Amino acid sequence: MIKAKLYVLLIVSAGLAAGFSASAALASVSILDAAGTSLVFEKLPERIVVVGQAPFIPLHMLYLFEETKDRLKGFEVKVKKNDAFLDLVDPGISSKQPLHSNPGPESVAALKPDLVIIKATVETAMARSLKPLGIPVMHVGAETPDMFLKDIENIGHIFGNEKRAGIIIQYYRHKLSLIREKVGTLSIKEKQKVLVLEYSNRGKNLSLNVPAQSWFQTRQALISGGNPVWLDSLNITDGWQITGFEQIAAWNPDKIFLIVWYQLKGPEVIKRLYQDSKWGRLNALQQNNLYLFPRDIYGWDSATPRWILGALWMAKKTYPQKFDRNELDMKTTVTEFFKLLYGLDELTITRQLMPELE
Amino acid sequence: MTDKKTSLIFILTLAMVIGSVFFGRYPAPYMTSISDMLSDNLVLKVITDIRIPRIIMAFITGMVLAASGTAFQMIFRNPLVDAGFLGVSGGAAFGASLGIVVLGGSVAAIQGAAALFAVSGLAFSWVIAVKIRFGDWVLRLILSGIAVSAMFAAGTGLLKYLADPLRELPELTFWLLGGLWAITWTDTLQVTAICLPCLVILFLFRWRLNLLSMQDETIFSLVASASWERILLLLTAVIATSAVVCKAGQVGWVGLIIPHIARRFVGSDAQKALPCSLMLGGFFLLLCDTVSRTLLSGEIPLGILTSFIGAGLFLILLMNRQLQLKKG
Amino acid sequence: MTTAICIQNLSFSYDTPQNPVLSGMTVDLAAGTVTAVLGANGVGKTTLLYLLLGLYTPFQGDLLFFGKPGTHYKKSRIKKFIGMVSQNETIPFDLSVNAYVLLGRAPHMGLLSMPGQQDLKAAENALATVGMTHMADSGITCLSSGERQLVNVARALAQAPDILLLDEPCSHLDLVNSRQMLLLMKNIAEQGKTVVFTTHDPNAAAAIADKVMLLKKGELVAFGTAIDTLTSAFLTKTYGNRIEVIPTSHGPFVRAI
Repeated sequence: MIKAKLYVLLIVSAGLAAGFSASAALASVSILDAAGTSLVFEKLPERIVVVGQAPFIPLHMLYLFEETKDRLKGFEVKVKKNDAFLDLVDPGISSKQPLHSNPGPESVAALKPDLVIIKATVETAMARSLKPLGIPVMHVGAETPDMFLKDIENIGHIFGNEKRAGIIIQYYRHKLSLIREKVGTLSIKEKQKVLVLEYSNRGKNLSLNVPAQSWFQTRQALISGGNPVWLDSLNITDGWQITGFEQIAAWNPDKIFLIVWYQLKGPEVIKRLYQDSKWGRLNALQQNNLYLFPRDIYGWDSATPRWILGALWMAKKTYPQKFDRNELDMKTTVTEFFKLLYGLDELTITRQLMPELE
Repeated sequence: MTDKKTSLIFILTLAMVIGSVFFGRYPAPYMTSISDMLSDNLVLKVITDIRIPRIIMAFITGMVLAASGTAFQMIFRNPLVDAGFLGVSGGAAFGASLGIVVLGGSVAAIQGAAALFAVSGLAFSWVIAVKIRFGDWVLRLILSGIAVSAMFAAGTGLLKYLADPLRELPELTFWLLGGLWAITWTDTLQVTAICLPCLVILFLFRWRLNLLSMQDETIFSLVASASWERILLLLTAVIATSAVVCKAGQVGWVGLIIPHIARRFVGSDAQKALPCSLMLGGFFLLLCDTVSRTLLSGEIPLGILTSFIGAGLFLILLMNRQLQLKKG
Repeated sequence: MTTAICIQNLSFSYDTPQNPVLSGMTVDLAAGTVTAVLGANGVGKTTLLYLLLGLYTPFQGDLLFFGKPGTHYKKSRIKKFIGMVSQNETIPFDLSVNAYVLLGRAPHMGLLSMPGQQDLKAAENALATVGMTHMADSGITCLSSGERQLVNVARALAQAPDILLLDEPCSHLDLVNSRQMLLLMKNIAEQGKTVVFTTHDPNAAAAIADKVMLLKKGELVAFGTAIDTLTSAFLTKTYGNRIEVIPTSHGPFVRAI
């Protein structure tokens, strides 16, 4: 009798030990971030701080996950205004600790983070400074769709919510395949010549800029099946490249997608261009193919998760004949996007996030 | 009398070095108390891994800029030069801009390019000076230094223009304004390894600087080795300055002003003025850097503080000088 | 009387040998004497001093110091026995007089040495010789031009040279200071040093010089005692203008017409 009890005890202990070690092995998470650094977490991070350039990009990515509301403890604030979109997603965001622009490593450490997230594709100086303090830094790249999806996967790992990451990735892949179905097989001759143009009066001077080759705006043009006319031009830097009307006329695109800085009113600019004597002569305008890039609080051209909306919209505008009227209905698509990815309700979406769509 | 002044400066400097360890933003802004250090493990780590390397770096940077400035002013017989004007500062700025805008922006790219172009700035200045056919060597070097610096400034301007305003331009502007916010032990050790020997050399040659500030014929009547002494000291000053500038960015006014202040305190004799410069330079930069990393939660670029305070001191000095001349 | 400087067939030009500043000059200067070099502006008086100093190299001829050619001595050795006071010593920083005079000790100091007891003593003595001890701690820029000139000489004296070259030592001095400077040079020569100085003023030469050199572009017009060289003929040839020499009980008095 005692022997039997001992045997049972042994087996149960072994089972428990196996179970514990298995779960311990599960708890240890290792990821490879966008800068090529590998990170290992024994314990999932519970105090996350976001700093570095364009913090809104990693923040919008983090808020695809519910866990962010609890685990995000602070972030760098680059501009005076609050992020109106994040206010919608997380009304409690004002309770998070803001860091003024360009914090030093001590200021970051004062928030006692166990993970710092920075948008970059090379190891940042901040990462170097925080390393001796034992504070890990994860870099998110968000420069190409593949990089973006890998970032989402990494975020899923650090939250221990691979399931949610899977849902998000699946959504993006599905939407991308929708587009590819229609436009993926076009030859270069069949492709529409598209131009993505940033129209800005920053610094009082009017400037026209085209996006860098590696940027999301260019990716969107490529994904949506277009032939970006500005890709051949020399681009030694990684940013918006200034161009002018003459070059645009020389490129003679079939479709022009205009990104207007929010200090200017988009519809007014469009109207003005159509009435302008030289712009009006461009092929694209003659065919009524000048489009204003839609925006909710953030433009659909940014590297935030809404880039997929931009790509879908561009696809439909570039090849309207390939899509049925009901296919890829943007209103439905937008509602689905914000509902699934950010958990917002229809009323909020319609009231605050639905852009003017032609 | 002078020894009393020197001792006072030494004590103040020591106090500054020790005191700066206690200031920062972790766990709370400004002073870190002993009890903080005992209770929170991370405080000690912050001190040993963030503050101390940065303090050492700031001190060495100040020493190098001040000592190099002194050496350059005496060798060029011109109180308005500093070690950067021979294309070193301009080259470093251009290199860093290149690193940020074109080469991807990694730490290695920025520092490496800055160092490379700082030294090449000097090389260009030298080569051009050799080709100029008029004036004595001082004039030739000054002219070519101005020309090379101007070329680099143009290049930097072009890169600023091409930089993406959302990501690269702020980073570039921040670098150009100078700052030690990303210094780690690796940086400090690298700089110390290069700068310490240079500082020792400058220190050993401090009396010779007096000699080298005389006119060429007078020097010739006294020593045979003036040419190579000059080259040695200029190179030493430039190498140390390049090392420091590629890590710290453009920190202006220190090399220009501190030597003047040192001279006001202990006289123009470089035998005393150089050591005084060393201490004052270290003190001044450490003070500015401590303010830069402690005052606000965001880093204040170091160059802004040194320029403000440096230019302010310069104005005071200028106005005081006039009073002095009337007496003498 | 030892020959301190022996100039043999010396020729020098800034550009081509066809355009010499000095041509085939041969003179002997004895130790313990004062030699005055006279000539119009730009004939090469300063050039001669620089040749003696070793700053320029002649394309022809030899220079012997104490019987041995200049090339025989190591450069650092020559600095110990030839000193020079230039015409316009500019000092960009306000060194103290003492610190400035100490610079003269450089040839006797090691490369990385600081001035020692011996050097401080030498500087002290030099300042005493020129009578500027009371200004030892003043800044150089506070001195009048006369005092500056004296301090320059003190610096050269601190060097303890056997040969002292002075380029127009009286050019910025008033009557009284000029006289003082001349007497000082005479004093230095009497201590055994060889003094060579250039001047515009033949009367200054007349006052103290043991030997006088008259230079004209490319040639040595005359070399000898003051009485022998300061004649109307020689001087007119030297300056290219009528010069009158009036004998007085104190020596010749020279006047341009």
